[in-house]
Amino acid sequence: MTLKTLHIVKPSAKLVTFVRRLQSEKEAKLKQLDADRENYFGNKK
Amino acid sequence: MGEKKIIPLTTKEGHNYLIQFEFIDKKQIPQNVKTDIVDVLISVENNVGINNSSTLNQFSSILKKFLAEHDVILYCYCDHAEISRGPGKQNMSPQEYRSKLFSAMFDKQGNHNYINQLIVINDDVDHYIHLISLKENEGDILLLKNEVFSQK
Repeated sequence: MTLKTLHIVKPSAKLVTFVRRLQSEKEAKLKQLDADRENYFGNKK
Repeated sequence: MGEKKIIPLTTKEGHNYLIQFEFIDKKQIPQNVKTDIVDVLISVENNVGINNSSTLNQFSSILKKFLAEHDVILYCYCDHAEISRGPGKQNMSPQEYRSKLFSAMFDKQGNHNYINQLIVINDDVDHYIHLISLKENEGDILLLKNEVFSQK
């Protein structure tokens, strides 16, 4: 595997806003997936 | 919301995971990027980490199988929720630890045909994003990286 890294040390306010939105979206999706997991494995018991 | 595929996984220790692959709407992707992008999300109970090579191999197999069946770029944003990690990893943030796990999944001999682009963005709490695909899609990964970099 080729690992390449881009490290942005001092991001602009625009980029910070962008990634914080990504983070927020991810947290909402994960909450839904956690509920799906509980349903899926709960029903298997 | 794009097409989704969800794969359940129970490890030999009995930890239950769901791995979700979700195709990102083309409208959200820069026009010059031709390869589909798939958001990867992993859910596990009780914040259990991937704590051994057997589980890591299972995850690696699932991701590689998906990449073999779909010509896509996997987009993995490392979330910030707490995750259990060994004594030597306590100094890492949860998202940095997840990032190491994503890299470890592909960091083996025989995986030379994959590319893993990590983007780290410093913030109050740092952000770790991985773009993983076959090397054939390196050009599109570069375009995505440049898109982020242009907002620097």
